[in-house]
Amino acid sequence: MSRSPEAWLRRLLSAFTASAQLLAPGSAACLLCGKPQQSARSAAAQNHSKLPPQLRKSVCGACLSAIPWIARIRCAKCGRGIPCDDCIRRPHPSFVCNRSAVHYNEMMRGVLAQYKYRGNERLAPLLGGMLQPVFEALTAEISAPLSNRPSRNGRPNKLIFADHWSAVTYVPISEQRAADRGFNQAEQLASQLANQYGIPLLHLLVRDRHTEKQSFKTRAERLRDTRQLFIVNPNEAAKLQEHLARPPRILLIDDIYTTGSTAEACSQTLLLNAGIPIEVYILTWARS
Amino acid sequence: MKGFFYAVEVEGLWQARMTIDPLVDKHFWLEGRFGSAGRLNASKARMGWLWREALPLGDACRAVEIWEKAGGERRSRGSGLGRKAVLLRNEKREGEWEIEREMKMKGEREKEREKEREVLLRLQACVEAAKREAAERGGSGQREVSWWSRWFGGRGKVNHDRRDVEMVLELVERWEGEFGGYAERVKDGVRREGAELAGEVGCRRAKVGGEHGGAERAGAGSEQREGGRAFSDARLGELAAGAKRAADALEGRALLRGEAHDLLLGAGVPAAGASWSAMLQLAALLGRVRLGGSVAAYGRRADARGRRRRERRCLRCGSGEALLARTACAACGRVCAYCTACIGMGRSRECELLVTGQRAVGVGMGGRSLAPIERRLAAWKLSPAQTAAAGKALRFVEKGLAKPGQRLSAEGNDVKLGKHLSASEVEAKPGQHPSADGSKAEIRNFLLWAVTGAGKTEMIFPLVESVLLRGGRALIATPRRDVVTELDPRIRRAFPKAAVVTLYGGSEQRWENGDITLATTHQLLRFYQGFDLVIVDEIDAYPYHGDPILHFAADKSCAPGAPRLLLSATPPSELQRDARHGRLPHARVPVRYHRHPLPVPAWIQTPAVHQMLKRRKLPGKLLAALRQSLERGAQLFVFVQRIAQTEPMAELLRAVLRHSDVAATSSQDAERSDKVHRFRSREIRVLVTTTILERGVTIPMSDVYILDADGKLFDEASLVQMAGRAGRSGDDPFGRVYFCSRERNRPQTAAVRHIRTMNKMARKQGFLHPKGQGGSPR
Repeated sequence: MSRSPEAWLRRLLSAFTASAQLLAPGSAACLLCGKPQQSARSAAAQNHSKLPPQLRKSVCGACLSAIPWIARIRCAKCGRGIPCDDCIRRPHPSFVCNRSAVHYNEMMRGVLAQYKYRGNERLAPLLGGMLQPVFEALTAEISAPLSNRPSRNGRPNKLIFADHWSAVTYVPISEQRAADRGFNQAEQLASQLANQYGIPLLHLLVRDRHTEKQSFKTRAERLRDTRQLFIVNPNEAAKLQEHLARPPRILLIDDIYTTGSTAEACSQTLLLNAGIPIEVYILTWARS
Repeated sequence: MKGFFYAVEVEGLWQARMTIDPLVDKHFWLEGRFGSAGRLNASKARMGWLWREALPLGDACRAVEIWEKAGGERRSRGSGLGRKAVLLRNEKREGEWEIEREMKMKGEREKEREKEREVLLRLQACVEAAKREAAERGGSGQREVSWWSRWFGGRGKVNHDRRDVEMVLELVERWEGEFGGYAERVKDGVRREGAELAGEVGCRRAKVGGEHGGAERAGAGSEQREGGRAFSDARLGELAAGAKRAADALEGRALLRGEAHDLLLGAGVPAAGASWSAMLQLAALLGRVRLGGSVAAYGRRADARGRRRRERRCLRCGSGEALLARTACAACGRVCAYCTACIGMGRSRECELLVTGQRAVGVGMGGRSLAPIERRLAAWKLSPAQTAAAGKALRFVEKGLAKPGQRLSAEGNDVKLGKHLSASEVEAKPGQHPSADGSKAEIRNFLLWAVTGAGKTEMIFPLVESVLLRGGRALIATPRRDVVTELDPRIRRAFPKAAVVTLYGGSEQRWENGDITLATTHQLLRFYQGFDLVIVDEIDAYPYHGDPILHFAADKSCAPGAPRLLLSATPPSELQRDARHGRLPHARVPVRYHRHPLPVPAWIQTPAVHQMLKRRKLPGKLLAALRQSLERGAQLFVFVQRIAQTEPMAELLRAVLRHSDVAATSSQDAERSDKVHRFRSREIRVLVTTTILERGVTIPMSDVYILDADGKLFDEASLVQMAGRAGRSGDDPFGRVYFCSRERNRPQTAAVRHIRTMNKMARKQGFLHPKGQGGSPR
């Protein structure tokens, strides 16, 4: 693989950021349990050396060990760690597959509540960091047929990740929700991932309406409404046209995958309105 | 959240304000009649200008501050005395004189226009300055605001470029004349200029519509509402009534928007047809509540290069820049700061509305004369030592009441004027007392230093009664939730007629108001000058001790000049010092209510706990003491340092004592309250625990074993507190206390000295039972 000057620059940039990290003061308290962590770097960090550094730095060893990673995927479609009937019952034809970082257990529920509802945005880098391993695994999974030949130094190179994706996007929230909460958690996660791997972040979807008055509607109306919940932002979608190679591969980020209906609705909207054939993959932080 | 910025001319004075519902303000200033509620404003405004664009709440508030500050800058050339509002008036007059001198040469109409222009440009300058500050904040230091000199640089020869004024006219809306007649006037061409411009703007807006997004849309929205919403008399009356009730319910509170909403729902305030913010805004116009950003500027500080920068702080918890985080905010459309320190109580941020309910009147004598202090004290049947201390405290509490009118006048002014006091004025300036407002009333602290088991709760009853008799509100706060729930029934029993509200995280009475409020110190964040007597129990306990947020909260919950009682058996050393040196009024109660001396700890030399656990063996002396305690029928507290040691130690004790009723508990234990309950009912005989149970628990017949008493976590205060668990009841006043450690270190000797000093003092003052009648142990 040839190295473009641009790639070199990007490498240089990441090297600079990495070395600047060395100068940054270590965080005093664990972001999850709030306890001061002194020994975290020495003992516990060794056991988790595969995790992204920002995760190891901001979370104490005990909390790191308690994160319920989805280590083995039992359902190839929805990325669940247990065998799942849902995907047989509802095939969700619009997206290729979903992968999630963690099981949605009590602890993770607490973390997400802290971040999403309490508004503790300091947790955003943490959650974004937690997406990295699963993102890399997903990329490896889809690139397996392509990258049989080993890269030059025998290790997967970071830049490869960007090559496999055309764009990162996210599940939008309504304007009213945005005004209440102040931020879109999925957007924050997506932009972090996009920055980290140098993939373009596109604001492809817009949530059309606020869905609160569902209870006043008939079932048929509701079904139709869920379908029309999202619309495509034409300006952003036009940028997809630039990716002429392959059908563009789009990674859709959300915080949690429960039944897959949101992911399905978003993917469907994208497929129908993108103007060109695309492939949508879902990456979520938690799988409930 | 967003807000609007406007200026109105009332009695020849221009004043600027922030609003969350401009229509209410417009009606208030131009019309003033609110249906059945009658006329609510003191004097109508001649005219006003509303900045059309919805600004981030923080920017809108800041623009008001800048407007007022600019007044202040001009003022400094004038007399420089008196209250701010008056000065603003003087300064304005002075400014007008100069302009008027110029105007004599021009026609009457020209004069008017010139004045209008000045106001318009000033309005714009304030908005621009606020926006610029917001934009520059994250980056490098900023220059001292120079917009003033830029816009009004050549004072006297204000050379307004006509084009500038026209540009501003596009951005503002004119308020004039009778409300409702506004639209016709425009059509009649009285404001020909404005109307034409408005039309133009409309076209231009349609063209650029897509690009400008939120701000434009908000502007358009407000226009639409202008057209669509007309106030009927009934609606206006409802609005006014709603505003009054909302203001009553919010008195003394400091709540975020969502919390205020919940409170009003809980208080059954109708949402006045549609707009809840209209109600709040009207209450704000009436001076009953204050609206503003929850994180706001409060002062300046020179940075490393000597440039002065604006500092922000969370007005709810007092945290400064160091604890603020900045993120892009979808609610206000810019980068805005939020407070990470008090995020557990809801997110306080720059564009989040903080609703502060003003209390109009402080508590005076209440028009009634109270019975003499002695007679009132006697009714509570306290011990001699308690009576002496409570009497001293009561005299302190009622000291300032000789001149009841004083405080009212100082505070009343602002309320009457309905003047928007900027956050930086009211809230703490650096180095100043946080709750000091214009009247600069300090909190009057009183330390009640009473030994463990002295009966502190009974001693505060007369004080609470005093406030209730005068129609005031009392607050009893303590850091620990366990203590709150334990106090609750006792307070209700003592004051059966009073409305008691108990507040803690997840409390059901969260939004109720009462005569007596019982709360954890965290809940105080939601109050502002709400109480005429504040009692803070266990001031040296975690988490209150050493937490600046909770101290800030406890300070701001006091009404200005209100007495505050600090209760502790082991006050922090700085308070002890202040008390000793006469800087802090105080009363000391050296004896327990049952008039027996405090048990003095005995020392047993033992290995460290982890060694005992490792060898699975207790030293003989300790074992013998434990057995003796069990035999005499006592309940045993066994304190260890670490949570991780509680369970293993309980297991070890179960084995070596051959006794099954041994349990362990800690802060991590979900069944803690249940275990304490079973311990009290003697189902559990031995309870292994950490400092979590060092205070607030009263078990009638108990002995105390403190293992690893030389450990780092046990300081003098906590040793004294743990020792204080023994011998609390009159039936068994001589409980035993053992310090078990490898060596006697400083905290242990200090704790023993502390206890002995108290006993000596009690004996000297004659509070103990005479020797022959059980005045000393064994």
